[in-house]
Amino acid sequence: MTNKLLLSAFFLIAYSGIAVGEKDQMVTFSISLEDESANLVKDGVFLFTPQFELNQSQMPSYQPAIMNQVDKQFVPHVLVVPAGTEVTFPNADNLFHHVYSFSPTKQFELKLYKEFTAQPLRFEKAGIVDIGCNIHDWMLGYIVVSDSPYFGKTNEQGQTDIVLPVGEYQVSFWHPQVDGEQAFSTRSVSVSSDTSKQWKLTATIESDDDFDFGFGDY
Amino acid sequence: MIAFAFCLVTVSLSSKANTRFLVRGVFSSQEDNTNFQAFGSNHQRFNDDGIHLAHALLSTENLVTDSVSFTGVFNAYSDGEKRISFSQLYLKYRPLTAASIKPEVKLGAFYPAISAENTDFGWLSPHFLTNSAINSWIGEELRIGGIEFSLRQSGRQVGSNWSWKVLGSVYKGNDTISSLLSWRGFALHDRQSLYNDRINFLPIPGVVDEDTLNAPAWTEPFREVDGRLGYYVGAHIAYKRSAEMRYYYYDNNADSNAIDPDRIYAWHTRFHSITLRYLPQRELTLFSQILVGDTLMGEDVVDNDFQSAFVAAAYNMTAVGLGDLTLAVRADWYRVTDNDDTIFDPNGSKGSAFTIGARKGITPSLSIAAEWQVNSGKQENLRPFQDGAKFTEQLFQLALTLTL
Repeated sequence: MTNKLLLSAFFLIAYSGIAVGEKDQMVTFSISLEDESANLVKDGVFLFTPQFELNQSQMPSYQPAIMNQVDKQFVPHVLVVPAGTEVTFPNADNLFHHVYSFSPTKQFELKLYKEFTAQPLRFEKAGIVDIGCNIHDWMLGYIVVSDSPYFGKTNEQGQTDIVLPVGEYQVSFWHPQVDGEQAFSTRSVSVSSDTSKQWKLTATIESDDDFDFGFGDY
Repeated sequence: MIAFAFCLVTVSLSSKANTRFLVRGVFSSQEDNTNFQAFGSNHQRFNDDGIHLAHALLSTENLVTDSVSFTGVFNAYSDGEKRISFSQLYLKYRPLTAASIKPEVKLGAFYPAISAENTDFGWLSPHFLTNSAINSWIGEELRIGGIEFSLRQSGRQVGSNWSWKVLGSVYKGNDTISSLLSWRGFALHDRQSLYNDRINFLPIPGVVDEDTLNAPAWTEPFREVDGRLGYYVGAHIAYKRSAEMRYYYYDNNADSNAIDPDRIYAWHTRFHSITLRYLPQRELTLFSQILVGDTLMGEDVVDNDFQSAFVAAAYNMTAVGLGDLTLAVRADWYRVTDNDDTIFDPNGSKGSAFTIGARKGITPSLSIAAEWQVNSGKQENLRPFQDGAKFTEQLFQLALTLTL
């Protein structure tokens, strides 16, 4: 699944001319994501890469990046961070985990004893990082490292709201179960005002199963 | 002993240990005839109505190195011959590798993962107080003292709905396996044999008399008699987390003519086991197992085929607003067929059992369970002790379980 990435879907919203001086204005780009069966899709990641130079004032602030382990699952299942972010890996379980990644984007190994938090790891390079646990094979999570400061991940309702400056963007999409789908029809977007967009995938997304010890450790 | 227990608890509580404790007391109401553990004809675990310590166990997995862990399950019982010891003790080597097909090696004393019933820690059943006929027997007579090598692939890691595992093992000991099936028949209970344990059974004249086999009315399941290695191979395949099948072939490769100074025989025992587990919805687990095998002791002194099967279902009522309440039912069927001409030692038996139970979690660490079971059948070697070969045994148990 490594590198199953960022096959982009690109689109263009017809809007010509953005007035000079409006570029500092922040707007919200809302996306609603469904699969082909009209089920709401969570964990869909949209990366908006600006095609213009950013002012420091336009940089968003970020929440601390945490990839937790709860009930033998990575929480969140998909974490999106800007490149250069430090991610903390606490272990909320009362048992040990052995977290690893062999992804080219970032390779690491963490022994997470029970209720233990390791030193944070910095993720410098953009791309997808698949993470697993050598003790519990069914555990699987992803860290999406973005070159752009503007991104969003759909929630349980298939919704994400991305606050960004007006301007031209290239938009990339990624989801753990979508490999190479061309969902949007065009390559770039010009954002000038609050926008809502609905997107229907041509694939059906299956719900992820929880860990179950009855199946053993594979 | 106290120092060992102290060290064990200290190590088990370290941050590099996954440790669970469990104590289960039961009140049982049952048949009043003497049970097999006290050399009687009854197939039930306990001997009288009353309160018993069904389980006290400590299960601990400790990291020795990044890739090697040590697992021990230490048990205490109020019944049986060996009341404090361990049931499992092994090292597991599970190296970290980038390959999607991953190896694992286990070395020591452990159960093969044949059962889809005994999936809780300490090889307990999360659904029933008594095990099925098949897994009661495995808990009594089958344990590996050896090495198991496996390869596995988790479907989730490779974008597939299918996960699989293949494995093989060689081991010593376990030469006497099937003695109980032949001389006592199948039984349904949750007493696991501990290391160096001894299991008694009814002193059948054809077994214990000096002019017949002149063998003791007990067996030691893990005893090495012939010095030969046994083996098993197995394969698991799972569809997502909703269905799984496990197949095992076991052959202890015993020299059926070997006998040790205690007149304990080696039994050449082979069997196939197929286990199925299906979760059509999160709250409902359906599972089943089929066992088909045979055993040979001496020059055709005992030549038996055995078969057993069960189907079971467990439903958790949380979804319908009844809290952590699980209802479970199981139907068992079993048979031992005597193929030899040893007239003084009839081994034929057959029967069926029905079990229904309920378990309610009171707190995350405390639960209560109630279970009723009826087991009825026919066992040829009971004839010298009673009128005919038939038996019917009912059992009601009420259990309180503390888990930490």
